Amino acid sequence: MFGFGKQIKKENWENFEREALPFSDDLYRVAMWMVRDVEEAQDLTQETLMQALRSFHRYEMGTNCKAWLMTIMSHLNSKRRMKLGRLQLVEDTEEKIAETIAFEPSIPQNITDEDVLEALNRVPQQFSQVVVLADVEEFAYKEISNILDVPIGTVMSRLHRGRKLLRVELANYARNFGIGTENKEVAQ
Amino acid sequence: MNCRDFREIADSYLSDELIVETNHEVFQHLENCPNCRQELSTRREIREKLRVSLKTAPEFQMNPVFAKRVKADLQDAAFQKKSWFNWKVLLPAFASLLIVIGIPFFLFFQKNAPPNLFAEISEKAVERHEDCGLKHYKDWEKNIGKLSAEKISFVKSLESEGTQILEVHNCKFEGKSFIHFVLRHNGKIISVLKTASENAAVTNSNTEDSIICKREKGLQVSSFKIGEDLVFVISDMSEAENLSVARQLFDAAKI
Repeated sequence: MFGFGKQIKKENWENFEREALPFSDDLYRVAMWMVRDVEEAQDLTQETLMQALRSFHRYEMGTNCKAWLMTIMSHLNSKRRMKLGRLQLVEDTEEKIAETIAFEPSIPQNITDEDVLEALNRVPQQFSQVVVLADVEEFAYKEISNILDVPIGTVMSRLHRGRKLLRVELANYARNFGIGTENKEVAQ
Repeated sequence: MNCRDFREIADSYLSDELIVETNHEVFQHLENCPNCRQELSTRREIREKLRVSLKTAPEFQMNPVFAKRVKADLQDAAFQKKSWFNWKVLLPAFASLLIVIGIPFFLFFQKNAPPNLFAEISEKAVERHEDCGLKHYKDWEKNIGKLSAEKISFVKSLESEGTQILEVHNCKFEGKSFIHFVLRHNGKIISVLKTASENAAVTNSNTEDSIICKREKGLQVSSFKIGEDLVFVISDMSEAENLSVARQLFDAAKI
């Protein structure tokens, strides 16, 4: 009887090791983006993997394991933020600011990876988070909707605004540091 | 399609989310617009840089030592022997079990509980005190000091300067026979009624050494079992005073 139990544990671990563990780096990267602190990101990653291991029987083999893990992490992060009193709802003002960007300056050329990261850092978290999940982690709208527990429409609008804000920040950042002098205005 | 329209949908075009017709319009516009071609190329470049920079930036890379430790911890947790004791699971399970087992037991004992002999007989004893003890006590004052020692032996211990034994007789009420002692204590009439317990075997054994006190029809009733007999002390005294009389009788009878 005990041998049988051990066999089940072994199989469960092997499945987990094969399906979930390869995404540890992705989890840490997104965790780091969410909390911006090494220790907190490590805690969040470890907590997520532990929770995933305990709930691995609920994971449906063949579905997107990375998205499943990200959903767990997003929920855990929301709980942690709520505990620490850091949970902020997307305020109307931020939504309005994002909506009212009438003029979009041309994007400079010759930008570096660091410039992009620096500009992304300046984009409010609610928008940059969706940009990271869509453009870096390459999740579909539906998956992002599940991960962040928000409607698909909200994902789409935040992504649109997030990308726009990123371009604006990138242009401002480049202008401040004299990057990309070949700005061209829209002709037509 | 003009440049403004194109810029609005350029990201969707890059993500390949547009329908065929719109894609066709985009192609047409891009063919004739070098600025938008440049814009599209820059946006593509930003996405790529964003993806690469986040995936390669040192601060976003997991420390290999930490990665190794997490894997070891996970492996330990995976093979850890699970404790069977889990409050979250066991508490509701115990509660349910208690309900499932407890309810039939409760119903069974309710149905088969021994009849409360004291309760049934004390009603009759109270009737005797009211009809016989209280109504006729004046008639019995002439008996004071004349009752034979044998007749009053059960309540003799109560006799003192403050307590007089007025009467002893047998009385029957609704098929129940009592030996009825009528006493006067500090001006108050007390009935002591003694009767045979017909169903002594089923009387709760807890009552063997205790005196039960209760109020019935505004009177204080203290009852106890002594041998095969049930004894009721009834008066309109306070509970403590009535109990004190009953205890004195109980102690004397035990000796």
